[in-house]
Amino acid sequence: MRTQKRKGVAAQFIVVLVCMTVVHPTLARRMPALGEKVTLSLDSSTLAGTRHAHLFLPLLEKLGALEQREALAYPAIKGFSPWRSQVIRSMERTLASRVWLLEPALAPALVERSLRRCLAPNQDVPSWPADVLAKAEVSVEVESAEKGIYLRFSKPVGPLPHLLAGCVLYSSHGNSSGPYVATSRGVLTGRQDALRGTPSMSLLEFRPKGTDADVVLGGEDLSERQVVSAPFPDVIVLMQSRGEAQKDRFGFKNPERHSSFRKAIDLDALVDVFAIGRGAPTLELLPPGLVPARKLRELPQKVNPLPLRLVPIGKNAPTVPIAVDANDALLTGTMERLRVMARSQGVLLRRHRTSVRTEGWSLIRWSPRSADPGVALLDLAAHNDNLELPRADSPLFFQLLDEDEDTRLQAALQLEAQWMAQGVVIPLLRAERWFTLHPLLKRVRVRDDGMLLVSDAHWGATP
Amino acid sequence: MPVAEKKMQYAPKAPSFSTERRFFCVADEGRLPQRSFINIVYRIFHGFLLSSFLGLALAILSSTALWAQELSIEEAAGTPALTSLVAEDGQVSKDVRVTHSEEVSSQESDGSEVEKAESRRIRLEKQVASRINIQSDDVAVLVLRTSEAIESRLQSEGSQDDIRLEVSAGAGVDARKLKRVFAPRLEAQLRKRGKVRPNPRARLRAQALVSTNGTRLFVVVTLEGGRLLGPSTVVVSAAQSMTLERSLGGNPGRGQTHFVMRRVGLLPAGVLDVFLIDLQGDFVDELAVLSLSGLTLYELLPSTYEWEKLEHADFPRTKGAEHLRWPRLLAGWLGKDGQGRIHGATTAGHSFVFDFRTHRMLSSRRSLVPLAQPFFRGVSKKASKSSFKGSILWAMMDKGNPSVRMRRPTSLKGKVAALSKRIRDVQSWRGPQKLRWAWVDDNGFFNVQYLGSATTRPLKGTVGDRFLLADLNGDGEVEALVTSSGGPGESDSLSVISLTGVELPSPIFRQGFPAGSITALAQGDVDLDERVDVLLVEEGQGKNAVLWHLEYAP
Repeated sequence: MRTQKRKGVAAQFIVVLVCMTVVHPTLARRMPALGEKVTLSLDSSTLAGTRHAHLFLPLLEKLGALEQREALAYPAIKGFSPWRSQVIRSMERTLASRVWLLEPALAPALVERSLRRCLAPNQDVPSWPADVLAKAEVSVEVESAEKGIYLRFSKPVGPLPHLLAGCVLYSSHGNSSGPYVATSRGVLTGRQDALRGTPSMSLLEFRPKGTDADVVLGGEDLSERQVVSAPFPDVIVLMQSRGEAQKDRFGFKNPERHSSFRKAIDLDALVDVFAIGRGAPTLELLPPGLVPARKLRELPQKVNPLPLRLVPIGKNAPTVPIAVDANDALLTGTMERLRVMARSQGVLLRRHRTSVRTEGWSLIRWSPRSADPGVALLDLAAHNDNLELPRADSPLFFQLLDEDEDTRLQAALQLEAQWMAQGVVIPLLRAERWFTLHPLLKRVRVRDDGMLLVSDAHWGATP
Repeated sequence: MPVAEKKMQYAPKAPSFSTERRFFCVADEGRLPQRSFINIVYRIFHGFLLSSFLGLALAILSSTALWAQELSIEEAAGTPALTSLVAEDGQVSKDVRVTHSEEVSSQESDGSEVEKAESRRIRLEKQVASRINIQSDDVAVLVLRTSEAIESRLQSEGSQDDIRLEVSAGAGVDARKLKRVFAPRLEAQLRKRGKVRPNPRARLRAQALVSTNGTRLFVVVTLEGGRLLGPSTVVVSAAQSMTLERSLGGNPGRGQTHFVMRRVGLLPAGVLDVFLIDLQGDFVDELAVLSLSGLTLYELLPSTYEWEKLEHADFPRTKGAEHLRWPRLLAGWLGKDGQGRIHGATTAGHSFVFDFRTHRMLSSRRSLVPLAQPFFRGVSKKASKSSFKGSILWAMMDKGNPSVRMRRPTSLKGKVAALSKRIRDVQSWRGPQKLRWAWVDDNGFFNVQYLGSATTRPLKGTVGDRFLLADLNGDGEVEALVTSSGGPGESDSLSVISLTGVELPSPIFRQGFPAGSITALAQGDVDLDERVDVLLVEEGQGKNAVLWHLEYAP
């Protein structure tokens, strides 16, 4: 009896202790408080990008929907709205965007060095804007002058703001320049001397994917949590090498066979199983968001699915290497389905680890890093060797970086059509990139490149 | 026959022309002339003389009054805002009336004549009003545009019949004002134009709904019936102006106790704090606005009741830095010291003092935040020297942080028992109920401390950062004005709660702001009516912030 009483008292004590130690995420108020903490559960590939996005200040950033008072405090660059910058005060272009003059808001030497590291080819520091320019065969000279920093390109570069959004400011010692600094424990802490002040979330703790956190990449679609998505979806693309495209094992060039293939692979089921329904089959490479609404390509509707049967395979059966990111469930699931379909055609698919896809197939998740379709396709081509650009003397080649936005869009659609006609690119699915958030977490945003930012986030008021 | 009437039947024996008073003082009955032929001739002649004189006097009086009134209007016409105000149908602005009534009152003193003069004045005012060009009146313009739009639509629909006009009030519009100001004008305008005539028995029905939405006033006319094949809608909108607001604006807080809240103007967006201060020594407070662009002073024009910019001062340049960057969290504070100078600080690091007399804006000590106090009450002699200066309680700020620290916590120790380490706002008060301190702590809770008792939290939830303590209804009890704790970009609300020591008091006034947030609030006296006036700034997505006036109206 006494023991039971003691146990009861102990249980009550534990309950009280637990209640005392369980702290609400925050008690928020009208103006966010500083010194808050947020936890993020991300996969390994997203983790690196997210950390980098918080540690380094982008040379330009796109902030559209701001309150008027915030827009006044952090105004857009004159003539280039909605691009804003803490590094560049003004931008001017001359000679049909061949020469750009940037007025730095910080020490010109710092900005100049950061621009050079970002735009000029550099083996030490990977930079996708430099890759884009190299793919388009554009060279750049960065020069400091009294008026500002001149960027002289060998060809017109119209969408420079889109490229500068992929550039970051490197401080004199190579340390972080953004609103956060890394600590030895792997967490990021808010900088006291950040250019736009200390962020409200002064502690970012990263957790492995699958664990509970305030922000979860691709988390479960629960009603009590908020969901934010990237501005445009990822595209799951089957890419074929030139040789494989010519062989055309599934008959993609024949609309009826293409349609039979799609019916057999059952893309809707793949989205339901591996992406909780957040996606859809697609016939286009450029996702909505990059390009305006357009009439979809049409394939015959009334076709029989490609027959799936077990056929004997001899020693000389063709084997096709396929490169897939093993960490991506949707890609792996699609690959397994493709393997079954290839097997019924008498072809063996062999999983390949390398990311260089000159031979065979590759199944990739393309997350466009820019909202500009020309830049996005050049970026895709720069990182996939089997995607060839038009000849350097053709107008299409120049138009991808044209000054005029419509011309760039037109060129991008033309290039997309060319690649698909060649059979090197087979778009399969559009898959959303989404994050689930704690219901009280406010003002989390996702950049064009799909990176989630909590620099401006804060905890909302207690309901 | 009443004596007075009898008196008026007879003329005086010898009319005096010295003063009007003597002239109207007729002779008494005992001195009436006898009834004879000569007398009759005399009376006829005298009557003629009297009526001629009366007519002449009236003509002189009328022309003098009219001249005086026109003069005052011409003088006022120099300010464009005034011309828009004087054009109400049958109404003349207050200052015009004053000028005219002074002119008339100097000539009369007798009670019966005052009535006559009053009726004459009203008649003259109507004459003057009819002569004023009403095109500058926003309501007239709106009426004109609406009637044009109705005509145009009916013409395009091929149904230019008589219409049955029905005007009703929607959100933000006073139905009574609408009925008095807008509906008759619209009807008159349509009748005057003649293409579509209002007729209460017409089959074609035109239902006009007038409402405000954001910073615009909308007239949505639904045309239905008659020869129209189907319903048709006409929409006319106009930017909300002071004239429209005064002519048609409703009281959104109507029905809630005795508080009146009305929109009194627009300010450029980016307001951080406002403060009411009497800079010109005329007992009417001017409005100091701290915004992202600096400090701007506004004065209230009594003729138009519009806030007009008085002066603007940019933030002082700091040594070694071209300009200070605005942090993510935008906040600012304003206060007035004992010498009448305005002190200000922002989360960007600006810290300044502005002297209206010398028009100089100077940098002041960094990181000091002026927390404006409703009344200066020193905590102690020693503390009052260090912690208080005029009606300001000084606090310390860290750049980019909207929370402030008390400058010398020790000086308030024992006086404010549980003052948090970091607070959002604090105010002191001394009233009959012995409330001493109220503050919003860093967690967003509203705390009050009464003299000699422990700290309490009268509200269950969290509140906005800034609040006001004021005796709004003049009953000697203190009320607190608090906002909701929604974050930036979320909807807001204002609550007035009575701090009489009751736990969890229900608001005595509550007003929602679904499209914006209250970014600043101040108290003072802007209309010399001996009641506390509260000005609030509501800011949303638009380029302008809305200035509201809250007042107790028994």
